[in-house]
Amino acid sequence: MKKQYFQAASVILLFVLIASCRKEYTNTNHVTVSGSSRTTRSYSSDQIRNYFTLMCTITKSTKGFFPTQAARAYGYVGVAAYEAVVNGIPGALSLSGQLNGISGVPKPAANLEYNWAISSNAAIADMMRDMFDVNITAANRTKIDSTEAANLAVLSAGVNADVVSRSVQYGKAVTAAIYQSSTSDGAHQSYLDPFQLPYKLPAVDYCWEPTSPTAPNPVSPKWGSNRPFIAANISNTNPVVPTTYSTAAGSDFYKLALDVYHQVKNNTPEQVEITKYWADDPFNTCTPAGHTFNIMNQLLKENNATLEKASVAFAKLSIAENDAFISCWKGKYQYVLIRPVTYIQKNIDANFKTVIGTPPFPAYTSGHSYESGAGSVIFADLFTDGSGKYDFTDYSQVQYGFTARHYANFNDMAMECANSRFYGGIHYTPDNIEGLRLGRIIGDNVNKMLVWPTNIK
Amino acid sequence: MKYFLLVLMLTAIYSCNTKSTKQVNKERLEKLADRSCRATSIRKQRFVLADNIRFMQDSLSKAKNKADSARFQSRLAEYLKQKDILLKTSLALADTIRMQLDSLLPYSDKAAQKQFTASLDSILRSKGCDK
Repeated sequence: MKKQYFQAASVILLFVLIASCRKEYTNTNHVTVSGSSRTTRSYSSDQIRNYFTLMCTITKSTKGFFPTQAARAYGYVGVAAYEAVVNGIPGALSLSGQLNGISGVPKPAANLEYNWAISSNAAIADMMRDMFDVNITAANRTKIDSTEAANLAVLSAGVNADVVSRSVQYGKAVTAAIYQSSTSDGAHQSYLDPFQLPYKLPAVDYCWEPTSPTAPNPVSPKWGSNRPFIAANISNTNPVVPTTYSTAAGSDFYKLALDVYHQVKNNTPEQVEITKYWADDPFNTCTPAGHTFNIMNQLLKENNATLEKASVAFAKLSIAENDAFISCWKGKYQYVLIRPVTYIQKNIDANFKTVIGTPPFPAYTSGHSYESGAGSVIFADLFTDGSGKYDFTDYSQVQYGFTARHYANFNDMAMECANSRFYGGIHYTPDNIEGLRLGRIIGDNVNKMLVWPTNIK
Repeated sequence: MKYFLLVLMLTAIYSCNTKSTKQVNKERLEKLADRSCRATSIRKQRFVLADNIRFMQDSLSKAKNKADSARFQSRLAEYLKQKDILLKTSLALADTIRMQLDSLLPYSDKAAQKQFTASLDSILRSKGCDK
């Protein structure tokens, strides 16, 4: 009896020793027994999430990537990532033919085996190189190349060489087709000319004026003419006509500016912190869209998402962010509304200073509000019963020296982002309210107007 | 007797492992706090510098004579140089913090996440870096 106990205990001891020496990394690959491909769900989301983290790093350090250019780059990378794996998701439909301007994306050969994670790796790496192309630094290009090679080495282990080669070629072919479509959307290589000159501002009394002598031209004045992924995201998102402009004290417009003035003068320390937290300046951070992608990245990890859910999630957000910036910019240059700082300095207090610098483009409507509104609806659809209720702490800004912020609802988070622009003196209240409303419509359109796979994990 | 010794060994290995893991995590959290503290300081410098730059640009655009203009321009050039240095430091530090945070954050466990945040905040407070 004692001998039996001893043997059992020895086995346990051996197990404990092995367990305590185990490697943290677990290879999820295994050779497929039949000729059929494994589902997308069977792969980890680590690789795609790491790529989106790398997107953030590259966006920060690439010349010409203002919020508009960044949203577009994220947009096409997300679409390519989804298309590379869609055939491994049961019941899923390609976005080719569903998205405006995206067609002719190749299909995988029937009855041949693919490794969707390898296809995804090749597709994302190629699209990232394409999106930052001319202006990418050598160091950033190397980061993409080495990430791609390292992923491929891990993913290829134990996989038939033909399957590896076929999967790489398929991923590349998917990106080549989508990239070809992207060249006609109106913003091909727009990072080379982010101010889209020549552009002439209209001669109207409410017109935007430069808010910094070093930025005499507004960013992306023709962005609203770009082709969106979903046509209704532009045709159904016309902002309401803004408050009639007036410099008369007591007028509605004057009151809006006065509200901004009083808010900035009476900000609490918390409101100043919120302003800076959501500022997401280009070249210091990966822009507002990048912040929202960082949040998505965290949510996917929190929910143990597989490559399947991560690919759907990034695609939805990519489409929403790309279109949100097109729609928002269309309104901005339709109304070319003067920024609060300019109006206040001219009509209320010549010495007025905003909490942070005002970005170089018109006020109406707010880009932050648009994109966070769109993002919040995508998050609610993916991670809640639709209500948006979710116990969430955003750690994405800790890297920039901010304390993590906590929210009980994605709507609250978007609202705080929108309000931050009022606290900062960057936007009038209607810019934020209307931006949020229209951004949410875009998020809804992405969820409802496209056919997405259900029961994803 | 043999059984007793084995149980004792198992318990010892288990507690050793637990203790060392806890110790390592505490040290790693301390390191993260140190870096976060530095990031907070850089972030504050970054916002102050951004203000200095935009206010100096305003002054420059309103300069009334050549002497003022030259003085403002020289100061602005100095600020812009500082900005480049600060930005490089900030971006490099951001990458390190992000990776460190990623390895420490208990993503899938909300209660552990709250505990982690509270521990990090507490260390930051004790270092005077919470604001």
